[in-house]
Amino acid sequence: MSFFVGDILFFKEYQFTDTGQIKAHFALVLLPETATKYSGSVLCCVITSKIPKGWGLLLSKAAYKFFDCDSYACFNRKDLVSKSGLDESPQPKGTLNRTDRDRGFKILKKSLYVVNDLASDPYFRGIIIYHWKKALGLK
Amino acid sequence: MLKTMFNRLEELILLILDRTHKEGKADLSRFQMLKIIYLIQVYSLKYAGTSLLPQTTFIREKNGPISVDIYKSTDGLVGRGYIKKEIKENKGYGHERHCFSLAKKLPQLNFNKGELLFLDSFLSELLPLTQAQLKARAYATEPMKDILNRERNGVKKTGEVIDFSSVAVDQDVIETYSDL
Repeated sequence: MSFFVGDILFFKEYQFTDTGQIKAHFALVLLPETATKYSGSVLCCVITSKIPKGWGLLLSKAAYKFFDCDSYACFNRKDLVSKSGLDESPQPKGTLNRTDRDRGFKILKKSLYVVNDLASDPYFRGIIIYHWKKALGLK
Repeated sequence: MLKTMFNRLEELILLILDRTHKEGKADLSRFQMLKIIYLIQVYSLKYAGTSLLPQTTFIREKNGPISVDIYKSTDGLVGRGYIKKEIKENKGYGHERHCFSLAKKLPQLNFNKGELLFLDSFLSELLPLTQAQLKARAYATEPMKDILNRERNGVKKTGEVIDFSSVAVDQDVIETYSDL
């Protein structure tokens, strides 16, 4: 199974790159697997039910029925997550609709400039933008 | 200080040949190598806003961009035993094809995580392409379009150093760096 920008996955073991903490989480795919396939990981941002302080994209329970409650893709928490932590159930659980992709791209672009995380590198930023534009049909 | 074993261009050649192998291909022709590195240089300027290979020069040749630096580096890596060169007949084209593959396990390279993701992503796109498709992609870049535009009088600019200043940084990348 290959994953693409905007897919929503469920990890039984989602490991945060910065803290090393492991938890079960939904996550949003930020780069297609073509970019990360040699390392066996996927670049994601975590999805939580808590309202983040900033850089959050609301994913409503009405639009994404596999969520128990309204949730948020947190673009300030980008992680390279091992595929071995994926839940065995069918994946992806869903994919962002067009409206949320457009909204998400705007938030993501700003987060790449402001948030200091593993994507704070010109090549990292560039390849994320390239693939989101491709996914949105902007190139 | 420990002296690095390879320069940046040599590291890129080694990485490309490692990914060639991982994509299930036996080798990569010199033509493909030249065009892939040229395209990566263009994409680096366009999407990262910076040059991956600032010391590498390309010139306009009959079949698009080539680089003496890449010729020297591949031959140097062959001489040092890191890569192999095989000369294959290519009757359809009329010239022999010089093909390269890794001769040893990929050594430790110095690309950072962002560079590696960037390179792997574009290599996944470029390695499956044929020579003709790679040539078409190279001709569709801004520097080559600029040269072709100036060749409309029928005189080829063979030997001209390719000017990468015509590569525009992607508008969304610019916005990423803007606080407006």
